[in-house]
Parts: sequence; C-alpha cells; structure tokens
Amino acid sequence: MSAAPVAARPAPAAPLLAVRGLKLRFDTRRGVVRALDGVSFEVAPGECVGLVGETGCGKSITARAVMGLVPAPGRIEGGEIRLDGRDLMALPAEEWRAVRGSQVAMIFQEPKRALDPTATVGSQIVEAAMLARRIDRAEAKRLALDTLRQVGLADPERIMRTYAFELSGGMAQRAMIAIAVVGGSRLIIADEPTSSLDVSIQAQILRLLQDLRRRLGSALILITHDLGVAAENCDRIVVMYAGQIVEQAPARELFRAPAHPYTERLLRSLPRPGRDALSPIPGTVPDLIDPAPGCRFANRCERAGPDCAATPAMSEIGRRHFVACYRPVRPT
Amino acid sequence: MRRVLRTLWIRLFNSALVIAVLSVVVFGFMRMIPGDPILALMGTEGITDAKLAEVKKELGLDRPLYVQYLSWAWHVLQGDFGRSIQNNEPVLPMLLERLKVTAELAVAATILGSSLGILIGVVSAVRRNTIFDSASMIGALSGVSMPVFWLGIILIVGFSVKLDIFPTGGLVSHNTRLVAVTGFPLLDSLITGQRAATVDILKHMVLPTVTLAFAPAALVARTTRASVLEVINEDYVNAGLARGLSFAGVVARHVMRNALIPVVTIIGLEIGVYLGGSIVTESVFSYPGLGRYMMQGIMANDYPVVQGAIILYAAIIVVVNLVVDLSYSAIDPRVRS
Amino acid sequence: MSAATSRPTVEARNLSVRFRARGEAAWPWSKAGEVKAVENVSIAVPRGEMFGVAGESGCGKSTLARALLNLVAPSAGEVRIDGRAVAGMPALELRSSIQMVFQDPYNSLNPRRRVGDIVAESLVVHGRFDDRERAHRTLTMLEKVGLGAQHLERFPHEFSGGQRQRIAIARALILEPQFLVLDEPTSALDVSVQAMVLELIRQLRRDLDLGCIFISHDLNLLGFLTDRLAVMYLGRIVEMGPTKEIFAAPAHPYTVELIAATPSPYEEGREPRQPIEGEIPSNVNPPPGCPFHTRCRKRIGPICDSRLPELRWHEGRAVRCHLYDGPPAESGGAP
Repeated sequence: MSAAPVAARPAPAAPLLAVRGLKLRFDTRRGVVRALDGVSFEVAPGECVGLVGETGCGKSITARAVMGLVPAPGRIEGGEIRLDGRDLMALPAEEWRAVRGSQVAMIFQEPKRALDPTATVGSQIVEAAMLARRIDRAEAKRLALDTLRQVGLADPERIMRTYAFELSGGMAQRAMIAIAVVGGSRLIIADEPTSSLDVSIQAQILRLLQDLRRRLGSALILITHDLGVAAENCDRIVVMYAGQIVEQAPARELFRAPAHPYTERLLRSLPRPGRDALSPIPGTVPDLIDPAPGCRFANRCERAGPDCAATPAMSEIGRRHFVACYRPVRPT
Repeated sequence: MRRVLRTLWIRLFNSALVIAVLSVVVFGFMRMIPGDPILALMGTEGITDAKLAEVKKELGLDRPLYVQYLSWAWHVLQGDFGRSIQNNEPVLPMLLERLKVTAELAVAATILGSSLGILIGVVSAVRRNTIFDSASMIGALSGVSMPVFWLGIILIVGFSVKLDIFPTGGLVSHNTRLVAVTGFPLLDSLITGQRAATVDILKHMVLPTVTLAFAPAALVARTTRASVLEVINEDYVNAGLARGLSFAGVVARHVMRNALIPVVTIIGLEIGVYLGGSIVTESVFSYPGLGRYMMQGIMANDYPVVQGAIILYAAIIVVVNLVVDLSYSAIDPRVRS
Repeated sequence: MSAATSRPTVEARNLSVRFRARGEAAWPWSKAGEVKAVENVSIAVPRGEMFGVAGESGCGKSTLARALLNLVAPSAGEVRIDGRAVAGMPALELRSSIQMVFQDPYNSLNPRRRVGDIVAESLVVHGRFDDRERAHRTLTMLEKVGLGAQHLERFPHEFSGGQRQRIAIARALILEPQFLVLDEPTSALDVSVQAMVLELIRQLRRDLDLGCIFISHDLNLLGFLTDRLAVMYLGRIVEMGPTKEIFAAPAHPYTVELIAATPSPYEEGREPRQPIEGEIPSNVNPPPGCPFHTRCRKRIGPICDSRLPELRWHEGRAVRCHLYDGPPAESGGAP
C-alpha cells in the first residue's frame, strides 16, 4: 500500500473484498431487470464466504461483477467493489484485466465446458501462469506442473497434454482449480463448483478447495444453491433473494437460528431423513422488472405487515449476524 | 485415430458409389440433349444417311445405350476417357491440361474467398450490431444472391471497359509467351523466372478470381459470424477472460479455432461451388480452363468430353471433401481420439 | 409384511440390461464393447410403497427405471407387474399399470401442444371414454396436481419448472396407473419448488395408493421420502432395505461413504471426513470381483478383487459385501 497516511482504519479488520451498494441492471426488451439492488458484503483475507440462494437470486451475477465480467446487456449502475482497498470499478479496463487471474480468479460450474475443447490443459494453465505472474514459458511450465500436482492430479506431465474431453468431470474441475490458483490470487470465486459432479467427487473437490485455501492463504467465495455444501464449507454465509442480500451470519449461527423469514422457510423446505413433512414456500419470486418497493420477499412472507412496504435496512441482531427484515424470526 | 480410419473407410465407399451413380446419370442426360454430335462436327450439308451411319458405326454410337455405357465405363475404369468426337484427341490429357488452369483460379478464389469471409465474419461478430456488422451482412446477403455471370459482366464493364485497369478476359495477353514446364501457367512463369508473364497472368486472374470468390466469401462470412457468436458465449471464453486474457486475446487463442470447425465444412462445400462457378466465369472471361472446355463440349454434343469433365469434377469434389473431413482431426482433438 | 406380498407388485427379477458401446470400432467388422448398465437386479415394490433407488452416474438407476416400463429391453431377466410379464403386455394394459415422470420438465413436454391436450393424450391414444368424460378426467387430474381449468389452454413455456413437473405428473397419472416411476423429477428444481413437488408426490401416493419408484442421487431427499431404499453401484444393488435402518446404520462401505459425502446443513460438529478416493470406474470394463473394491476403505483382502460378493441378509436388509456372511438374499422382496 502507499505510504501516504490514509484515513485511519484498523489494519487487521481491513477486508480483502468489500462490495458496497452494488446495483446492476439488464436492459431487456421487456423492460429493465433490476438484477442486483444494493448488494453489500465483505470478505476477509483467508475467509470462506458462501453466497447462497435460488435460481435468479443474483449470486452468480455478483461473482461476475466482482470479476468485471458482467455479460451484455447487463451493466453496473452504482456501488463499489474494493479489492484490498482499491476501487476496481474506478480502474481503467486494462488495469482491471491485470487484476483478473493474478488477484481474483474464478472456478466454474461445468469444468468440461470451462476448458477450451481444442486446447490442451497444459496450454491453458501455462497461459494463466504467464499472464498473472509475468514469467517466461519455461518457468510457467514448471509452475504449472507443480500446481497440477498440488491439486491432486497424478502424472501432471500427461495431464498437461490432455484435452477436456479426455478427463472425467472431477479431473477437469481439478485442472480448472489449478488454472485458477496458478496465478497466486488471494481471492478465488467458485461458482457452483460441484453442482455438475457426483457426490463422492463433490466431496473430493470441496476438500481440495479447503486444503488449498489453508495452504495458500487465499479467501474463497463459494457460490452454491446447496445449503448443505455451504454449511459444511463456509465460515460465513450470505443469503440472497431476488437481487438483494437478506441475511448474513456465521455458518453455524445461520443454520441454528435463521432470522430472515426466507432463510427460515428455505431451511424448512429442505428434505432430510427423519423429517415428517416439508413446508414449501407459497407463491413465486417477484418479477425483477419494476419490482414493488420494499422487502422483495413480502408477497410470500407469512410475517409480512404494512411496514414491509419500505425497504428494510441491514441490522445486526447478533454477533456478526445481519438481517434485512422488520420482523425477523426470533430463536425460541 | 480409429475413428478417422473408420470415417475414411466409409467415405471412400460412399464416394465410389456417388461417382458410379453420377456416371450413369450424366451418360443418360447427355443422350437426352437434342442435337447430334456428328452433325455438329460435319455440318448438315452434303451428308448422306449412309455416310452418317458409317461414322456412327465407327464411333460405336449405333450400339444399344447400355452397351455404350458399359464400354465407356469399362474404359474409364482403366483410365481411358475416350477421344473427343470433335477433334479426335484423347480426352483425359486435354482435361488435365485445362484443369491445371482452372485449379490455379480455384485456389486463388478459395484463398481470397475464405480469408476475406473469415475476416469479415469475425469482425462482424465481435463488433456485433455496429455499422460494420450491418453493412457487411447486407453485402453478404447480396453476395449470396447475385448471379455469377452478372457480377462478371459488371466487373468487366467497370474495371476493364471504363477504368481499363484489368484485361477483359483470356489467360494472358497476345504478346506474352508461356513456357510450359508443369502446365500450371502461373507456376511455370514463376519457375522460369518470367517476371512480365507472371504479372500478366496475375492481372488476368484478378477479375475472374473476384467473381468466383464473391458468393463463397459471403457465405463463409455469414457462417463465421454465426459460429463466432455461438462460441463467444461458451464458458471457456469467460474462463479465458477470468484468467486475465484480453478480449482480443481470447478471440485469437480460444474462439477462432473452435469457431472455424463449422466454417471448414462450408469452405469444403464451397470448392464444389468454385468448380461449378468456374464454368460460367470462364465463359464470361474467355478463360481457357476446364469449365470453358466443358461448355464447348456441351455446345458440340461432344459426349466423351462432357462425360469425362463431369467425372473429373465429381472426383475432385469427392477428394476435397475427404480432405476436409480429415482436416477436422487437425483442428478438433475430439475427432482424433 | 406378509399381507403386503399379496398386493399388486412391480418386480424386476434378475434383470440385466447391456448396451453396445457407441461407435468405437475402426472397421465395420471389429467387435464393439458392451456397457453393462444394469446387472442382475431384483426388486419388488408393492402398491402403496415409496421405494428409492440411489446412486451416482453410471450406477444404472435410470436404465433400471426405463426397463421397468419396458422402454428398454432387458438382456436377461424380466419385469413383472402383478405377476404378468411386461414384455409383450398390450400397450394400454402396460401404460395403465405403470407410468414415468422424467427428470427435465423443460424437455419432456411437447412445446407446441396445450396443457389440456398433453394431459389427455394417453386417453385419446388409447381411445378411452368419450370427449366429455375425457375433458372431465383431464380437469380432475389437473386439479389433483394443484392446477386448474384456467391452465388447460396454455402452452408449457408459460409455466415454471415446478408447474411443468406437475403437468408431467398429471399426464402420467391420467390412465390411473398403479405404479409410478420418478427419475430425478426434482433435480432441476430449486429447493423451495422441489419441496412443493415432493409434498405433492407424497399426497398423491397416499390418495391413489400408488407404488412409487423414486430414482435420485440425493440421499437427503431419499432419506426423507422413501420407505425402502436400494443403493446401486456400477449396475448392481449393493444394499437394499428399509430406509430408516439404512440411514441409522449403513452396512455396505459404499452406502457409508455416500451418506457421509452428502452435505447437510444440520449435522453440526460432524467429524470432517476424508472423502472417498478415486473415480467411479467405467461400466464398459468394470473391475473384477466386488465392483467397489477399487475405492473401498474396508477392503478385507484378495477375495474382494476376485470374487463378486452375493447379496446377503444382514440386519434386515440385503448387502452385497464380503464383510457380511448372512444367508443369501435371492429375491428382491422384503425379508
């Protein structure tokens, strides 16, 4: 960091990533889709944060926004994305590009589709290493082999020469993880990294991500629709609904005492052995074209009242436990 | 590799079948065209029926059709395409000589059409919905829909008659002398170091090449654009961007190769279009290639020439398509395994 | 359970399904490999039971589902419904005995047909009832799955994933089958939508006394929903028995691993467990002996690599593992 005296902020609490008031819209033929509306969260160095929610809640697009890779016709309308205190959105495009791969990296849902089908695994990991670390090809190759070994791929020399279609889903995801970590990023974003994999392979990949996180000291944003995956892997969980964050809390706390009615209802609709009946959430997610003001869950919420017509602010109801609700569920 | 072998095996079998069927069709159609080759050769005056019958017998045209076909096919299988009715020269050497001229034209048109088409297609896709995109796609549409002979005539009027930049037709100017080594005119001029002849040949090639390449370039451009637009939404493009590649870098390193797979198919099909187009183009530009030779054969009902030319065309198209199929394995590793 | 055996039952007896491996041969006369999708599987599901089939890719659960409906021909063994073989059964009788709901609610409905026609199609195809009765039955069925008369004239694309799956269920039930096979019917749906569809299935099962075979990779779901469970690995059943007992004390090492690997938000302080290693082998060349021996933590010796264990009774369930030596469990029925 620069030597100039910046506004006094206690160093240990400085987040690695701070997203504040992020607004993102898609201009479609039907109208303006407010895909993200005031999304704010932080990720501390080395922390694993889960971003959970159902289809269309905005968890993946949040990841894309942090990467600076919002797909057309989406665009960011407001807010800030700070990495290590630096406002990424204020950077020229070229500088943001230099951040990708060297400071933030991404892992995708379908590993075999995230690898170029006509390029070898080796060429892609070497490419990533050279770009992120500004090293020559020979050195990049050494680093690539070393990284492939670290992600648990035996015989990295052979893996370097293979193509995506020659790998199983699990191996391809290991290769993708190697490509993501080879640049030395301090923040890895994994977007549903195990949703296309079998459970036994999912467990291996999640374990690998945790091991790497500890070993490399990088932070991890784990985007998932699977509350179980989030519970078992994350320090802290951020729950999204219809483009907004409704609750965030340490993982155990969230599942022990969910405060937002949506979180609580979501947990009650999860099937598990020994449960008598599920309690589905009535109604459907509101249309994000001109959504009604106020809490976006109000139309499905049994606790909703007249006050819910105004947008609730995030309030801290427990240690590091935040909820955006006027009528949160209190633990009994 | 096993899959490639399998493909090769199936394709070879199919190709032989196609050519066999085609030979029957061509043979039949030629006999259905009104007119008589001997009358075309000798003229209608002062010829007696007896004389006519004699010549027919000499040429074997009096036998039943299926006997004629089988005899012709048998000879073709042995590499003997018969002799021209018009000038009694062996057909095959003549065809091959003309083919060399056409081949240079077709190669030039393929290179021009493909490279231009790919370039326009990629730029259109990357700069989607810009003026460049709209303009080139309108151009491409007109290119696909414009008749070849009309384009040729327009070019002659514009660039030869009005502007006088390029010659109106022919292979070379009257005063240029060609030394034959391989039979490929441009290649020969290069081998023998005749700078002036090379320039002259190239000048003569420009308009026919543009005429031939225009429609295929348009089709290649449209295909390339669609293909790039599809590939650009793939996850691996995002993954490339996510590891810090620039957009141009991703296009060059990860989009092009994948997007070109369907384009290669189109280019392969286009080779057939070049050959078909060369018949008209060579006639318009008086270019002494295979197309014009065949055209002359058709006019004179010269059965062996036309039949031979069409079999040759078919064989070339079959071989080119085989090469295209095999070239997939160079581009796409999934085919190789 | 003796009373249950007299109820109408769908049974697979020593069922095997093998496919030719796709176009790998270099020459037309070369011999192609064989995918052993289902190997010697026996199950028996009486009316009214919710039977689960669990497993990962390549375990054969979807092929088993298709074979139960005679959609693929078995290479060996047979499927019987109420004692009658499904092979050669007249179409109407077969379709009004057993029906299926597919995984993808987006592809399984014809996009160009109206919902009323989609649901009524089986009645029309089999020439059942007159127009009025068909219309009445179609509407009644739609109401049973939570839709109504206002939906009859709409097209599938106007519905959400959950609603489409309701339509698919209505279509499957219109001929009043005794048995319903559900192949991952909720795996494309969000949790809250899945909950609605699962509750619907439970209710229909009770109301219509359906025998259900529910195929899924999600053990949390199967643990919640099913009465009995079969766990499959590489085409074979490795453990089968009452769901509660299997979850309380899984016997086969693979079942143990599968339950442990299934994430759940509720098991706080669960010991972080080293995940099972290795990949799922190919079922073109499955490992000799016990199919799971290549990844098994409890492998006891060379016997695992060389001899296929039989299904044996162990604490009220059938287990295919050399660790247990109970009496052989031949049929797929309850003990």
